[in-house]
Amino acid sequence: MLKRYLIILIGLLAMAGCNRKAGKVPEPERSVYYWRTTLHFSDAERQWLKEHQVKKLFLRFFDVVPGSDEGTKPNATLRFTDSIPSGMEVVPTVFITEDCFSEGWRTDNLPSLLVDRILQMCETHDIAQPREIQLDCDWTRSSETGYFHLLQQVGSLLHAKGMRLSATIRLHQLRMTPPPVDYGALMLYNTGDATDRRCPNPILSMEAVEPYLKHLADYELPLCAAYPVFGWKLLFGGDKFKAIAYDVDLNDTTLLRRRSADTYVAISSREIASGPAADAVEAHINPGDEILVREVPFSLLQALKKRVEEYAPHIHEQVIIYDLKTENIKRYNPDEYETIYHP
Amino acid sequence: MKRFIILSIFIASMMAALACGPSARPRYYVFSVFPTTQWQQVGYTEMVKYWTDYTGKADVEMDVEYLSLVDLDKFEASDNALVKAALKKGDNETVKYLKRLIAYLKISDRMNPNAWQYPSKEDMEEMKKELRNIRNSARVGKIKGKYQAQYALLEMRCNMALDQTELNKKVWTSSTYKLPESPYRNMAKGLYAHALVKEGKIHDAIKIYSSLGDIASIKWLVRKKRNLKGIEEEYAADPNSATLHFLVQDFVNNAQETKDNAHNLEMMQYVEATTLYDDEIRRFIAFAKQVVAEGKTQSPAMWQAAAGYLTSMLGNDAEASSMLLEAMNMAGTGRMKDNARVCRMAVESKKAENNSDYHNYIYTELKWLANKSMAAKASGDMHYNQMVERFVYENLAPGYMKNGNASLATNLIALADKQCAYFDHTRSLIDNRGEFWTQIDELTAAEMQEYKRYMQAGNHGSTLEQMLVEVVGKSISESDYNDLIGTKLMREGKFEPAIPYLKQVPLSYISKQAISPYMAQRSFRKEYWMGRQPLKGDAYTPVQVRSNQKLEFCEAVVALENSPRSEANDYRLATLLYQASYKGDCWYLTRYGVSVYDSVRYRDEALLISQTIDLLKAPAASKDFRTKEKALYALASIPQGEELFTGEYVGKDYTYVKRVNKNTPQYTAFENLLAFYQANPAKTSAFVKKCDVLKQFRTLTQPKKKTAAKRRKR
Repeated sequence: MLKRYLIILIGLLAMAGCNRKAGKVPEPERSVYYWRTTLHFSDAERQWLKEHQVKKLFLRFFDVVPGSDEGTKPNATLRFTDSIPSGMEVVPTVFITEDCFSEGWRTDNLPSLLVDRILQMCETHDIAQPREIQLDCDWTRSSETGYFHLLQQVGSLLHAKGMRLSATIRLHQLRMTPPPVDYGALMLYNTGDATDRRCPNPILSMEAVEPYLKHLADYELPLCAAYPVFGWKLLFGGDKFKAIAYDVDLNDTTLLRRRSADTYVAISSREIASGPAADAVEAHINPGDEILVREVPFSLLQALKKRVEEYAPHIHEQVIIYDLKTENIKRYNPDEYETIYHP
Repeated sequence: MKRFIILSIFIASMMAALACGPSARPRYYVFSVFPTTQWQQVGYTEMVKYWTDYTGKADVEMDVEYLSLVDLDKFEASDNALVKAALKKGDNETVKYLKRLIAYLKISDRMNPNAWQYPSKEDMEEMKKELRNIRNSARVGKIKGKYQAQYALLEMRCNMALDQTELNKKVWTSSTYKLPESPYRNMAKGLYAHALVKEGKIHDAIKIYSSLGDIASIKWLVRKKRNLKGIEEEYAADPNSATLHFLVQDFVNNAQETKDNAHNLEMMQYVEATTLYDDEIRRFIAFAKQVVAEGKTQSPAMWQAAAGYLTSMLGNDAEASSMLLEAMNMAGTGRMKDNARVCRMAVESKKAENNSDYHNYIYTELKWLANKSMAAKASGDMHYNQMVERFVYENLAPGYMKNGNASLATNLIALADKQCAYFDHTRSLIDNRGEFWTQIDELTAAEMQEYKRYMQAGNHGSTLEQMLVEVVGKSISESDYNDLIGTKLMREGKFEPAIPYLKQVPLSYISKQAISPYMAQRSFRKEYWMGRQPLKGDAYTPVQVRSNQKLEFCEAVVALENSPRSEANDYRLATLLYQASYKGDCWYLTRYGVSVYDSVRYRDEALLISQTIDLLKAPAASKDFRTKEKALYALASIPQGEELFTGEYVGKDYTYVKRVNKNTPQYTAFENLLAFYQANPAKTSAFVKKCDVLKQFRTLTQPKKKTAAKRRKR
């Protein structure tokens, strides 16, 4: 009998030894990214947050870009013109461009600058001291050392204040060493090249995700999943990418003719804004140019969720939707958003 | 609004970079009922001018830009030109104003949302308090004195910074609007318009932006109405809405851009642009005519001009021209009437006729455009200059080239070149290397000879032609003519006639040209295929040349042509001609510049290469082994037609597979060279044996077969 228990015990220990899976995301909640430069919630957005019991707002506070004198500087800082919906936890999120870690740029003082600025922004705008901060960077092997060093130092500063640090993880980064943070948010979008018209869906494709899934099972960091609900109107002149056509009205029959479900061809010329703001650089649309509408079918999101879960059973305890915008919360029906959020 | 300004300045600089360039020639919009200064910050030019006049310093712009860096505690010791001038003049009023302005600018800097030091609530309060103080002092300052408008603007800026935009309505309507016209008053008016936008009074705001020429702001506000449906709705709501000025202009400009991009008719038909979009244009014309007929609009000149110019776009120039003539005499702003006249010239300039009435018309219109552009110069409005460029480049010059008057076409281009804002007036038309140079460079030798005769003749027929000859003036020297004609004759393979021209070109002239470093180092006698001649050192600084290689080359070719024909002489001549072609190392003999992307650029230029190939045929069939070997090698070395090698990525792992293109003449040339080598492997020279391209060609065309021994093993 003892021998049998011993065998079972050894077996369990062995399994535990082999299974290096990470733990779970701490205090998971239904979450959403807010990625605009002005904080303002429409009535529909407030209602949607309430209806789907979204409790965490990953709020982009600012970007960090290379500045003058070899230092870095904040950019596109969020303008606060509205209040945070009650009961919503804010996770200040900062996007850092990879070139901040290029040779020659000083980042030694960046950890304290970052943390101090985030906390000051919270205090100035009456946001309760956050429990977590998230950093977002498309790091590669060349920037890994610099970025991870920053994460370690920011993590230490936050832990001393009883706060957590999370980081975004792009699919290609799953093959690399996990970053030194408390958990990661796996970005299941931007899987293709939006500037390549041969790419059937640059936002998300199962084929693009599939090769990375095998890394999920052994990934040594707790993960939550971030799913896309956004769409793109990509303007091409022949094979050449021209712009993201933000303000083009697809129903304007004097400008466009619908060629197929997701393709519109231009029949006239005009200047268009290639960004959501008035100061966006303008592009020209000309006859024969095409606008390819790229969205993620709900069925794909559903299938992907299922597939991801096979490798990472706990990953959906926290789902972050990217991103909160009126048009994005109307793309699917309420039940479908519920399905996306459902663990 | 600051964001608009930044965008505007960016676009302006981008347009400037495009203008007058030899390749990407911009297609400016013809229809313009707003001054084109909209791309600049409202009043910025005038503001800089004010401080330039005040300080007497020409480059005061940086001092204006960096005013916020002045330390108020050490104001008297400041290096800033504005501060120094005010102190030197003992101008207390200006000193007081500058101190308040600097205080405001410093707070603006502190409020910069992208500084690492994010302000605390207390900081915010403190800054707001300071802003309120500045605002109060500005309220006092605006009551009297020479800075009334500046103080009013300062007060409104403080309101903006305090997020109290609504107060700017009162500031403007209570007093500021009464102030005399000035750039500061205009900027204040822009802030008032912003307050109206915030309040949802879009139409009122557009009216103001329209008066300020701030098209970027208007465009943003009406971005959802940019088609006929939007125009009809707007007209129904208010036939005299200022929004209509923008929407009509936008419609016509978009139509023009569509037509400018409609070179590929097949594609246009395929996407149904010719039917669907032309229908929209036809509907607009009908609507515009209806608007004019209804008489509710105060701007029939604008509507009629729009209908007229669009009629021309649909191909009916005669009707368009008479409609535009009517528009010139209809009611509307001065700019609208001028716009009708400009549109008419756009239509008429397509004719490019060679008769005195027409010449007189073009002369009058060009003169009018020149006067308009002079008048608009101070405000930075480039529209009339741009129209000269458009009419010359798009219509008149190509029209006269086609109608057999290359000299008039060339001089019209000189006019467009010289009136361009970016023309360097310290250099000649030739040295500016603008469109005029491109035109001169592309003329044939005969056209250039005719141009010289035309320019040096006493009587030039029409006033237009006489005026244009004066525009070119003495820009072209005798050496320019001789060098250009000689070079063009060489390019066309006429070497003997080139000699008398080239003999008259002094070495000092060539030594100043950009080709001189190449001429100083390279030799046309070397065989191109036996080794390239890389340039050592600086390729951009002209150097002294020892002889005129162009002349030597012509003499060498003529000597060979006059010698008895032989395979050896044919080979030598082929060697010379190929070096002088645009593909040779001595391209500078027939050109003034070359690019890796170049192909045939001039008429008859390809002759040198085809003659080379013809001349190599006899030596390639020679019984003399070495002559034949060299000629076959030369023929294989000359790229002809399509690329010899092609390639593609195949399979799941995207393996690159290289292939030989059998459709190119070079394939035959390599086939012949390979056959020659395989027939004489021992005797063949090293340059053939070691030729990498030949090895590749052999590998791809004659893959190794499995040996008999290997087959037996199986």
